[in-house]
Amino acid sequence: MSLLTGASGHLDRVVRASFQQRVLRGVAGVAAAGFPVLVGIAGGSAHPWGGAFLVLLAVGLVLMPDSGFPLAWMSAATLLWVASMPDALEASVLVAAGDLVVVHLACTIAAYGPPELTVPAGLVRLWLARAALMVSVTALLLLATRFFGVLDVPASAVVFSTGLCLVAAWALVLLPRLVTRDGAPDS
Amino acid sequence: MSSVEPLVSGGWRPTASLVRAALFSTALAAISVGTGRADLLVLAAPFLVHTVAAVSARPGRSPRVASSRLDHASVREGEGTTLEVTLADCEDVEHAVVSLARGSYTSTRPASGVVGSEALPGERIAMSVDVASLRWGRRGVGEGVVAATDPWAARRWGPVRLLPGMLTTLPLPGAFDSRAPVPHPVGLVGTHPARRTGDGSEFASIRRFQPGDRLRRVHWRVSLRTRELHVTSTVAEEDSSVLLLVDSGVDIGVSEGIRGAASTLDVSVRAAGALAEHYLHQGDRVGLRVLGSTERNAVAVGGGRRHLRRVLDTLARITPGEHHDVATGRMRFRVPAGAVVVVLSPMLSEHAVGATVGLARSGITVVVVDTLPAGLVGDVSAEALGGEAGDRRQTVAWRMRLIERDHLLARVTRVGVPVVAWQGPGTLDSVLRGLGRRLRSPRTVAR
Repeated sequence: MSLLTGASGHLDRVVRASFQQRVLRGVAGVAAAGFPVLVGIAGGSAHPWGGAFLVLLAVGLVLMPDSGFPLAWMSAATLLWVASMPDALEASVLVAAGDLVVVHLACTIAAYGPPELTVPAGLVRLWLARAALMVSVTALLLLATRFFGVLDVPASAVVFSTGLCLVAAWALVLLPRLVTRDGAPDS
Repeated sequence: MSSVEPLVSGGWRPTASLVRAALFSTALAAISVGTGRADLLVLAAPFLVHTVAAVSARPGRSPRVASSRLDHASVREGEGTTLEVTLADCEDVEHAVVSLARGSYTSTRPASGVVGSEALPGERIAMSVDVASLRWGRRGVGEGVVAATDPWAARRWGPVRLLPGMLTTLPLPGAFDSRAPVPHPVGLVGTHPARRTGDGSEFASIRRFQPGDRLRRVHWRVSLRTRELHVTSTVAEEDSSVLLLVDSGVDIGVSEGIRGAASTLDVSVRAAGALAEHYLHQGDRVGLRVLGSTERNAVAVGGGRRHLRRVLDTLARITPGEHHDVATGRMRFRVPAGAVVVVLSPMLSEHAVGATVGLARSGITVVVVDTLPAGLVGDVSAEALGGEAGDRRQTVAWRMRLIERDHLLARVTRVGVPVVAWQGPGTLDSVLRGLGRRLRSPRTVAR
């Protein structure tokens, strides 16, 4: 299958998609393409090529929400954030996290089934509640880190190594769950 | 997931969403710790929430397809039924989806054939898709895939293939009505006026009273004038037998189902259904014989509503194509005495013409109903014949075949068989009246 045929196949899917799917993909696309603008509004330095690359990846995730494009976009967006923004715990961090959440969840719901699928309204409401929970925890963490920043707690080797150990342990817990299958095999 | 993805068996697989949240949050947390940038930890936080919530609820059992069945085994053309798919062991399922493959001559509601359902924990999930069959025949319906997603869209089960169920689509008989009596009824009771007198409603004559005559038949005016009892006699009413001979050897034209263009076999099958329904409702006996490669190709002459169902069921099983091992000259059609044979054929094959001529030569009353649609006569585009647009060779070949057909029709008419194009109501009226007149006159038969 050539690249052109593959792309036209995905375009066909967008054409066949239900109204809800089009809205979800549209939301994901707008949020993804708007991230460089958001960085600019937050006072970040301009990276035209980085922004263009993000928009390109945004097109990919709109066409294929159930692929590696959303992860690639999220990684590229974070790189752009790191490169453009200083280490500051401003409200813009929460807005950026919210933008990432919107892209992630829009792609998640759009990947529930074939493009023609309309996900039940009850499930969409459940995801809105989940999104609210995720953003709330993020806001709390932002407040907590700002609070500790105000206290001016000095960075120490103990905190650093504890953090690394926690991340490594978490990765060890996570890895088998990502590579194995749960539940009994189908009969 | 889509209906065209390769099918995967096994239990729950992590979704792209879980992998994305897990990799992104873990990598960002590690970089945040390594570089000491707290803002990256804040960016990772929502995805950590998603990952923790998804990983902490591991599904125990995989769901299974408890049943996938059609509500009805047979429908009429254009009618619909419901495909019910039930998933069991759905304790860990949050959402399930069924996606049906697009089949020929079927339509679904919703049109995409994709239906999703939210699950309540611990319950079975039942999903239903309305399926309509748009053309007569037997075909597999309900082929597709089913898949399920667990809470937080972390893992997916399936897609698992759904095997199709066999749906018999009975032909929707075309409109037909006939006021002409069948030429020679021979049964006991029916609606066709017989040659003998007896109980009936049609006046025959006024004759002298005979022992056994009913008093209410006495014609008092004639009796008083002649001073002798006279009664009114009526023509007996009898039933008759009709044998339908359907030529399934060729199928020309494009069939677009009940709402679109019809092929020759569509016209033949629907016309046969219409004739069977009409004559069986009149109380006549109807039989069916299919000329072609169809396996179950004969229904003995019989009557009643159940018999109509048998005839329609056999018509639904017709498969186009010629049976090359069958010699039409040696075929035995088991035509009952006095039966009328109605041949439904586009008259494009030697088989059908041979059988028609053979039956006519043995003294059986035969009528040919030409089922070649009017749109296929004359200059016809290759597209209308089922070929590629602009294929001039096919157009020329079709013209040559029409010339050949004229010769075949001439052979049929030479042995005295009337040929009439199928036009729905009244198609057979003039032909049957003509046959009735001809049968009352003396004739010679070659045996």
